[in-house]
Amino acid sequence: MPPPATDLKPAPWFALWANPIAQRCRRARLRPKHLLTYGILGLSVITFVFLVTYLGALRRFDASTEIAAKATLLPLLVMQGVALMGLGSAALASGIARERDRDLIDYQRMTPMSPTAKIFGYLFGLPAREYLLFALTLPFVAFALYHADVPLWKIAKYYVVFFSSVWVYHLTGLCAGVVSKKPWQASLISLGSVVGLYLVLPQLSFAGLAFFDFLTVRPTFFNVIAEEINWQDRPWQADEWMNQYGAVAFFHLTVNPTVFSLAIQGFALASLFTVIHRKWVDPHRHPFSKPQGLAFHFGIVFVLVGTLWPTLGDPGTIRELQRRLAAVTPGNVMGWLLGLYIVVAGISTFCVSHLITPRQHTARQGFRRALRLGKAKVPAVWDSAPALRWTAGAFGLTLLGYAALMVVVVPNFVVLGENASFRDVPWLWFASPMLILGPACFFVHALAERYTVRAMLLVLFGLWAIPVMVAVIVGASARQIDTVVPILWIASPSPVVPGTLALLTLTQETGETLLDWQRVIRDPVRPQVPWIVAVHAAAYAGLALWLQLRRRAWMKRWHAEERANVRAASPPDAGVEARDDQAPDTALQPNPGNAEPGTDNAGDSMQPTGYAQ
Amino acid sequence: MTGDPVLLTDDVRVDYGDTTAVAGLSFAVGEGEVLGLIGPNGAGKTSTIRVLATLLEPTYGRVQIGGHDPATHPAQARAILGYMPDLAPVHDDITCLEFLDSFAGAYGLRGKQRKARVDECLALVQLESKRKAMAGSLSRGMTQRLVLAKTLLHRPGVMLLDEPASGLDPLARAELRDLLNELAAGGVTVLISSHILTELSGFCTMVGIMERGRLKRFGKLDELTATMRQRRVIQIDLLEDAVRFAPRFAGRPNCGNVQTQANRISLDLQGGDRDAADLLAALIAEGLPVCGFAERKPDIEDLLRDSGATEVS
Repeated sequence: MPPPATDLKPAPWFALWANPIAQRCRRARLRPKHLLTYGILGLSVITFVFLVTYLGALRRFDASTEIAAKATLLPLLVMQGVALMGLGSAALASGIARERDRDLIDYQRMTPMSPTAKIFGYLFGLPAREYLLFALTLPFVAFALYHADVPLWKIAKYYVVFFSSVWVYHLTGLCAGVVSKKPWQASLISLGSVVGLYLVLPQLSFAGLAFFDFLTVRPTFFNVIAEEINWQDRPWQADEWMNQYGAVAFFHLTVNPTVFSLAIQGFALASLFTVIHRKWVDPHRHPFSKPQGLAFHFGIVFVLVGTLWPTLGDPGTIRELQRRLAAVTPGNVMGWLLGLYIVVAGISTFCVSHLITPRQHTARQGFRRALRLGKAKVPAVWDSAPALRWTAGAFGLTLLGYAALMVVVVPNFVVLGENASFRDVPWLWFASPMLILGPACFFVHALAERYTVRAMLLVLFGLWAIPVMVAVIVGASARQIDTVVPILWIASPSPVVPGTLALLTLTQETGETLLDWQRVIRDPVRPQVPWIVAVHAAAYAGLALWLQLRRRAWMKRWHAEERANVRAASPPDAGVEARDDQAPDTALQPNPGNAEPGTDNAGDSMQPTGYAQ
Repeated sequence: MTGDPVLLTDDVRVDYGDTTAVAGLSFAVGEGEVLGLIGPNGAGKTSTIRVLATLLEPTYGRVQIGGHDPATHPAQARAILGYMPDLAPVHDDITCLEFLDSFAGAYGLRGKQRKARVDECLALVQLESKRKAMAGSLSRGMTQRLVLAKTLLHRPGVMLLDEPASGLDPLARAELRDLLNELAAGGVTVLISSHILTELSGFCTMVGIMERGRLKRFGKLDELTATMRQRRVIQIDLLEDAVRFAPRFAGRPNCGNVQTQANRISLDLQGGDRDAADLLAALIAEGLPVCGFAERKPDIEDLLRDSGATEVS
């Protein structure tokens, strides 16, 4: 047997043509029988759609060749999107989940290719069949573009954003496949994310929060391609869409939608790639390291504030939204927008805190490792380190973003001509939404550190969902309007209820005009709101503190025990017994793992760098 | 062992949640050694192999593969590692040739060298006739061989085999044993875990016995068995059913661990050749129909029993 070939160098990450994972996936998914089946099916459907649209426009509507060609563009581009975004993401998610499920992924983990090369291999290999379907549409698209006389630069601009968006979805699929337990779950998550981003989140864009929409290709489509398309008898709708996706206002800047799309998608790509890379290196790692989690949250808050800032600061946009949302007053619109910020930033705070918080056993493993390295406590950036200060940092960013928005909200309210300005509103009302969010966030974090996910979800369901259900039952069975106060108190453990009340009261404190039915409800509720907010905030802050203290006391005891174990661990240990049995030439060097805390003779290899896979 | 150890673990601990799978694991294996890792279910064998295969990061502890620390130099460690898991899976939607070609590429083999090595490995595991067969259509034994071929592609210096012979017929097992012997003779270090003790007896040069995450015994097979020579294993063949005569051995001061199987009695005898001769004389004098009396060389099974392991997987 010749000596091991250690000098072999696998293909670098950018050499996609030589990537063995991509090659293997292409071979598997593009076998001649698959090529034939999918080729015939794909070509038939594409030809059918193209001819129906083209000939229909040409013959039935007596359109010119140019107009008929333009009419085919939209269905062709939609088919491209369905093939690559929908089917491609599902193929990636289920493919990687299947490999993980069958432990095939371990073979790849063990090869000396870099993690980036492995990720790229799957990214461009698993959706091979969907790329084929995309390729089948290209002759038709080329025909349509040529006859429709669409400038090349517009096409290039569109396809740059299209592929960037496709890779966002594909990485989402890969991410789903890496974390899901079953292939069908992964497919469902990836398809759900496509549907969510194309059908659900655009509603937020319609309601004033635009940035989610820029994860799709739609803004660039309406900005660049839409005017080239024959909209037949619906030009007004096209106009509205084209106006909606004009230049993007971001803080005081006016950004080209294509550039903004690429920036948002770049942020999403970087975040998803980070998660997948970390999971490749070690499946037990948190999706984000603590600094990465905080950076991700900063990105979300920055984009949120940047998008809402010009909207909240511009009376014209507020009035436009008032019309679009059929809101009673500009105050309602502002309350709605602030609510959007709190919900999205709040969810991000909860998620990031949850993703970077170690479970109890992880914290213990980290302490054991730190102890062997001679460290008195777990370094703050390790996955196993307590995440309280990072959660506080994430909440601090949310708070900062909220305060920044208030800076534009307050003066604009005066301009909008509300009956009273925010200047007369006590500061507590401004702070109240954050008084709800903060303690709830720390409470959830403390739960996550102390209990299992299942127990945590059970506690949250008990505290956040059941009171609301009980309140709804009481409300449904009550006849009098005066039961609204006890109902709100019953539902108040759920942060949604005091949060909504606080936000409504904040906007109503400006003295905006209320409808009669609103006044009927507001009058008895209004005096209760400060109490509901205060009790809610105090209760959750107290619970969070109590859980933290309990956890600390428990960890302190456990740390003392573990230190004692390390001190006690000496030769009668199993490993040493084993060494006693072995031949003298196999004896080991002095055991650095048994170093006393405080010494520094342990190797760097024990740091939780993970194995780059 | 000569020179630096090729495989080294030092105070390795592996935790899964609140469960400790491996604790205080320290051993070193030199070039060309074949280490058999044995122990009951849940002893920590697979976790140990996964740590060495760079698939599992230990809670703490140091690991070296060919002098490379996988935590700091993973690519170098992997370049010399070959790993064959238990119930080795394959991609069932590609051919055997494509399967091997893909991994040859992943290990950096290019062009003609890649093709030649794939052919060579297919020949080594005698799967040339199946090169164009879909990997998913192979029998269990053939699949094992295909994965073994994949493991050999990059000429690993260290091979980690987790239950490699499960699913193989006796002939294929013998072939596997011959192949591993050949690899070890060529300087490849092999770590093999198996619950089939006879499978290991043939070719292991070192043995590690694990129980409840700890290494109870470790060392060269002949040196470990030499420690058992004080208590030699005697096999006595009788002309009649051995069960009848077993109680006669119970009272003897230097006999222990008496076991019967059909017409054979096996026991541990404390002492030297004189004691063995005395025992034989006593048995004949007592009228036992002895037709065979031999000392059996202690094997891995005896070692396992001697180590006090309660359950063998």
